[in-house]
Amino acid sequence: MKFPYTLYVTAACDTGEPIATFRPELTLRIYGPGGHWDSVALVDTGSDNTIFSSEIASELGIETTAGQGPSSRAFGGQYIPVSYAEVQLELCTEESLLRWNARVYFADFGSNSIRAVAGHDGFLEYFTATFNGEICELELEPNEHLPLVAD
Amino acid sequence: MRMTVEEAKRRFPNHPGPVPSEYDGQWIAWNRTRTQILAHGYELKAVRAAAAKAGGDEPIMQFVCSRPFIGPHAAGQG
Repeated sequence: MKFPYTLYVTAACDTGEPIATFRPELTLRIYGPGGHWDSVALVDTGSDNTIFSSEIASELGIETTAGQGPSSRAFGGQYIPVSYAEVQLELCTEESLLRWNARVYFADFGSNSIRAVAGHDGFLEYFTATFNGEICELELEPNEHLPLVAD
Repeated sequence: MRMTVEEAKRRFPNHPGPVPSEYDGQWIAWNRTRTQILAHGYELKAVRAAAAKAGGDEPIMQFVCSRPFIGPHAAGQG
């Protein structure tokens, strides 16, 4: 499954000039009692968990459990309390569709931060991921451990 | 490889975006092919409802973070 990176226009940190920035993102569908939502998620090898905004859990009627462990720590040192739930996630391309069970975490992110992150637990652990920087494309190959949902 | 936006569009014409930087800090609702923005705003639920009114029953929701990005937080907040 191939996913072209998303193009953003950002200001370069050094010069401030507008530049093209590509991020490895894909559309991830999350299911809950209230239906399903499609959200653009950043595929992040630096994230231990797969995390969505708490707003999405509320809208989908997903009952979450407050995490008993420590808050997650973001790059820069911010601590983010999380809750979690067992849900189904889905990836879809023109060629194939994959739907699987996953533990997903929910958090109230800061005012200007990504709101959906596909990290290791629940996502990257189930794929061989190739980040092709030359053509700005992510390729995912599911492995045998992907807990697919039967049709 | 630093590129201007025009170079990036020319080199990668089929990649999604560009995500409009003027919507930084807002939710946007894309159509199914992520080629058209159906609605945008600060409230997730309202943006999705506006997208449905615009004909997008199943929009793809995205929160826009168009600042330089390091980890889950944008650089230079505030």
